[in-house]
Amino acid sequence: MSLTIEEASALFPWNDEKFRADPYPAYERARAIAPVHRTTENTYVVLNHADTTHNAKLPCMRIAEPPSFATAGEHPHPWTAFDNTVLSKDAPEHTRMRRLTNRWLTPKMIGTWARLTHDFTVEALGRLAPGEVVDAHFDLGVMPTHLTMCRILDMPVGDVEGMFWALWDAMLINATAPGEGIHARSLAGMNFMFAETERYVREKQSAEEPGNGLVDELLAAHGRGELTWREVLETTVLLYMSGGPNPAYLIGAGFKLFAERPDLMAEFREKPEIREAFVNELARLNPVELIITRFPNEDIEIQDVHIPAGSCIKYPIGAANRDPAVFENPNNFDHNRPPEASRNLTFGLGTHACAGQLLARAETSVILGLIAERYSSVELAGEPLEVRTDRLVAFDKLPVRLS
Amino acid sequence: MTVVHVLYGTESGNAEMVADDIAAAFGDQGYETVTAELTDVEVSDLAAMQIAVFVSSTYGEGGLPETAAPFHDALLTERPDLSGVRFAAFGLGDSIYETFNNAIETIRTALLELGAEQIGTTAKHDAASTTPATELADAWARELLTLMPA
Repeated sequence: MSLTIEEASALFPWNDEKFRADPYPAYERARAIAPVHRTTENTYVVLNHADTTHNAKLPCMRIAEPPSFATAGEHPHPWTAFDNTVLSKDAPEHTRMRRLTNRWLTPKMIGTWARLTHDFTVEALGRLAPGEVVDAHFDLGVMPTHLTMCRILDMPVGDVEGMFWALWDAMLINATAPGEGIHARSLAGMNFMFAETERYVREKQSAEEPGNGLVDELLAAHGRGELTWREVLETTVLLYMSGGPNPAYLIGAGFKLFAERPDLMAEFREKPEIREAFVNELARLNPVELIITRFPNEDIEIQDVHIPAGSCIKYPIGAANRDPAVFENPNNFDHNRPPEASRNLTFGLGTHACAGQLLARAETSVILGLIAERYSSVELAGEPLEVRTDRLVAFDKLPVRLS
Repeated sequence: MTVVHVLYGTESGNAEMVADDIAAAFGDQGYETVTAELTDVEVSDLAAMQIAVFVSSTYGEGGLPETAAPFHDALLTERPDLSGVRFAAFGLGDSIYETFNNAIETIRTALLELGAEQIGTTAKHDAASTTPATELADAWARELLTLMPA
């Protein structure tokens, strides 16, 4: 069945509140019509898991937006601030920048970092009075993971809440149709993050003794002339801003699940061997970033749809993660799915897969493990509040009572 | 007692994990094992190794990991006689890329040219598959153990 661009576009009301809150029924309806839709002259949406996992990581799928997509009169795009990082670079420059952080985030190093997350969480729980309501999102999600990242980088704790909302504002511009005033708000958020981070990095640079973190390694490379100042700064901002907010959504989703399903909380407590698969299933159902966007630099075909070079392809992660061709009862939480039906795209894929995903998974496992082991129940002490665009989701508040 | 050297080149740490798994499999069977990153291995020491297991990912556009490239360069420059060395090879890659497991092939070719003899088949883990690298490493090491000199 072939739809006009207008008809296809209507399947994805990116700015509609209802769609943003629950895009899954819309993805399902669209998939039932066709696996690939052309939603503007030069935009395509790919819905199947198999098509996404195969195509999104092809070398021709560039991450850098071609100049033809720039909106007139709105320069610079706030995210050009990260033009010198893995976010915007393709191979071979991407390889060079990715190498700056790889050795800090190996599976072996993750064990060390996760022990820090454990200790920070124990401290936070120790401060709670019995029956006290706590914001599981900020106090038990953002804080322990941000503190962990601060230790990896050897950066001060800083204005955690300010950075969290500055990042949120900065991300708003990446919505499909951001709306009026968002460009300025996004730019302000970006400027705040850069100003805060640069102040701390400058302080480190002028300190008599270098620290022992990843940022000190970047500064040393800068001193040797191997990295520009922008490369140092942009990579630092990227890590400093994302260490808390991104895992926090996954952790918050875990708290919600524990509150709704005490049986799963008990299983998490009693069977440490299921924790990895459990966190993976939590990630499948709760992606933080909701759409992967790529720009092929050569003509390709997906499901007999010809997509010219220079087009924008949207791969909604939630659509692939709940493709019934791969995941039986895709909307149900089931950590016992076989390996071939558990690979999800929440942390992206290919060379641009999230560099911190092992850390985020380990942190989530550690924090939820502590909760399950120390408490018999998690109770929601108010309605969880989320903020959403079609591209991103975060908790605002997640009040819980642990007993 | 035969000492098994497990030598790895890694970018994101997965080859390091696989090296640990292989060393553990040999260790469980009573072999003495030495695990080392290729940056810490002198090419001149290679000729004295009776059994060396090479583990390497492929990075970027088919290249060697940063930690394996200087070792490979040194092999080609110093050209040691490796005729007494028996080696095994384990690669990690992603079959979506044309350069799938290029790096372990690059290392393997250099070792064979210098007279080393390969034992077993070259393992090629595929990130696009659903088999964890650890699982393949374990199965492959057990197979390799059956080919070890008594």
